[in-house]
Amino acid sequence: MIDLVLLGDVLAGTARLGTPIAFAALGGVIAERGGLYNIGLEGQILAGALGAAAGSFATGSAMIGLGCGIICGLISGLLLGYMSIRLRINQLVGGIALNLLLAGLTAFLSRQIFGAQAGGARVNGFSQINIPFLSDLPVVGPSLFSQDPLFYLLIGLAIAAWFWLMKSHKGLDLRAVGENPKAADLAGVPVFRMQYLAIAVSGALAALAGVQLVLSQVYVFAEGMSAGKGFIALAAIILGRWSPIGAICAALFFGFCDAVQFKLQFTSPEIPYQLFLILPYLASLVALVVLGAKASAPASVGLPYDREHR
Amino acid sequence: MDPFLNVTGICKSFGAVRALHNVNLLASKGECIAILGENGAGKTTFASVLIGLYQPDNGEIKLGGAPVSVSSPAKAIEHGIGMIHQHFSLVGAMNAEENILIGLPSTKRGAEARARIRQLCSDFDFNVDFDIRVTEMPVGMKQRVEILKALFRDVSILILDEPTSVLAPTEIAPFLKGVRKLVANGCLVFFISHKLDEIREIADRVMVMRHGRVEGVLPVATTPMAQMSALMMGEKPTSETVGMPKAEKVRNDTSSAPDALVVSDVCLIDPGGAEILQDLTLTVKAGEILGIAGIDGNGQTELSEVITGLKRQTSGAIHLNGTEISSASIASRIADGIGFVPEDRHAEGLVLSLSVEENLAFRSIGDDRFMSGGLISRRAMHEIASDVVAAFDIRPPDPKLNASALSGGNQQKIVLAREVARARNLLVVVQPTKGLDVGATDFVQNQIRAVAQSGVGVLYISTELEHVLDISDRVAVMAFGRITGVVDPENTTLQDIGLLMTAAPEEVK
Repeated sequence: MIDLVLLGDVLAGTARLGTPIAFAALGGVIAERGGLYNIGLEGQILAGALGAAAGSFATGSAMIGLGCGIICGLISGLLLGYMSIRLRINQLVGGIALNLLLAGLTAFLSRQIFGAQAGGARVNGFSQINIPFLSDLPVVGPSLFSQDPLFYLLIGLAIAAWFWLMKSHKGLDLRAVGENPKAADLAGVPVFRMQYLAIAVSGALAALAGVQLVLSQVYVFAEGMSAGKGFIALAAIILGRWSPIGAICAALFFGFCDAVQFKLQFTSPEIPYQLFLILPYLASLVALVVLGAKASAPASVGLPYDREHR
Repeated sequence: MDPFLNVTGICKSFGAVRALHNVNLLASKGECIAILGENGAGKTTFASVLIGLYQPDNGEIKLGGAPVSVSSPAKAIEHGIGMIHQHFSLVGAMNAEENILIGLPSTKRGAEARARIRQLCSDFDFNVDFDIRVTEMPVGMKQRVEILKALFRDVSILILDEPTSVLAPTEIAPFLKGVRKLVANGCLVFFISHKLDEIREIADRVMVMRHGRVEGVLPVATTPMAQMSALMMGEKPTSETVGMPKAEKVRNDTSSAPDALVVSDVCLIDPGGAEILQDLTLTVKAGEILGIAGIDGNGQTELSEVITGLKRQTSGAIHLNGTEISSASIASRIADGIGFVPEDRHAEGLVLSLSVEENLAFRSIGDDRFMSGGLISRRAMHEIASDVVAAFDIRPPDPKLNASALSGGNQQKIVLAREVARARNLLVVVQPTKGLDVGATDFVQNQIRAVAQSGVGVLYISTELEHVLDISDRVAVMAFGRITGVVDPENTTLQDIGLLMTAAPEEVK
């Protein structure tokens, strides 16, 4: 029975810790399917987190916090889009620049908004929702069916994104842009508009990761609280084969590793905890090496499209 | 009545390069107009302006009497203008249907759309496999998908950019039949080509372009081919008008010359276990041009790669001037005087983002002539390149220009110039005239002849049989990774070679 309790705990931890990575990975999938690298996921998580904290702090409403977070994500996504699509700068460099900008900007703004006191200001967040009957199930009930609303939003968005991308006409157009923008252009797809749409949505999804960190996990904004989740999300994209569902599964796998290492820290206090902290990162590295080799990215990802290029 | 299409005063420059200069054209529906010109004459640029890929610097396009602004390909589609590019613009990872439906409004993508695609397919007798992805399709089928894509968008103007250059000989006739049907249905078809016989067969009028200008728009039926060709070439004498050296070509007597290259019993088995080369044996004598004829994909490319060291043979030996080089590195083979003009000049022959002079120098960059005090001498590089550019008539004559800014023919000249200089003992050329116009082809052929005359052995691999027969001293025919026969190009018939080229594997033995 002890084992079942432990399993339930780890499962609950997986959902909680994996959700932010999954949101960011989903955002990355949308961008890369449209031919754009979103290396700025990490910074966009911070933007979303700050927006959520500020919105909730100012109004006391978690929903308004959610809205503010999404708006911050959209803006940061469009900024990256402007650099990648219009200015055609190297997308890796643009993404890294955005990460550095947002890391500094969010730290600065958080001090302006919340004051410099340690721990920041506590804000109102979401509480867990118990789904009737399902949440009473043993083991999976408390872990998967009594989560906060953002977890359910994630599942809904993942399915919607998969359906849109793989089954809808506009999804086909976006995939065509990511594979061969010239072919899409010649077929009448508004390439640049599709790309702006993709990168804005991508930023908003990454921001949801930050929203979840603030409003569902710690109820406070902390500098650098994204803690590499945006980069692990990049690995989840590859591991998930550029599929929304696949990326979510990969992200939850990384969440699982994180949950396990937390448990191990408690159960094995004699081992330095730093070793356990490595675990999720090690897992992402190993998973990429073992499973990532066969992956095939959208053919034109990262290559800026220039109609008059000869 | 206003003409259907009225183009006036179109100009377009790319930096310093003037691609189009004051282009005018009147055209009506149900007409097929060929656009004839050398590589770099502005044919594709003109087409790209019509479909909104390039914005003209000047000029006006009128459709049915009303001026239109074709600011994007999407706008072009609205106006019923479509284009089929030489190298296609399909999404490889998707199937035919998805490729055709990309970009259309949702209302046009329902179940009726699928039915209409198949209807169009049977109307035009097109054989298209709807279950496979584009990457798995043969070239001819890809082209049919492209045409279906245009037809599905109800084009009234269709531009075909060198459509037959990618097709197998057997695919050309059905393709031309389809084009004729389009024209009969009232479509205005532009047929970009530099093959005069094809133009004669398909076009009503021919628009001859040269250096970005329209030299004339002439009715095909009453214009002699010689006149078209003269217009296309301008003042430059063609081989037909001069009669030399193509007509009275000198065949070298190399029977007593030493062997430059000996390939003996070479086998190449790919990782999948397929036998790409089987017990292949051939000899190239010094000063001889040995042609390799054959249908594409019978091991010719791999043979060139084995000889130049890009691939290692599974068994067998290769000797250069009597010295075994079977396991020598690429660098040492280059040092031994092997020059190589690869099939794909964009991917393997050139670094497009480097300048002409850098492309001419690289791989030889350690040579003393490019060095000064242990560092690269830019000045020496520039001077040497300027000489080469002049000698090979590379245009525009600016060695500092990026290789990507040049037309295909001029790019090929860069590769050829570099490799000819390197080929002291052996020159291996693969498809050296692919996609080149008449003038550039002659130039390339003459350069290769000159190399052979200087005592270098030449292995000339091409799928263009006429060229192989024209240039070679001896012709070896390849099929299924073997040499199926060696013939004398003077005393052989096309039928004989055709039989050797298609020899079934069991007959080969």
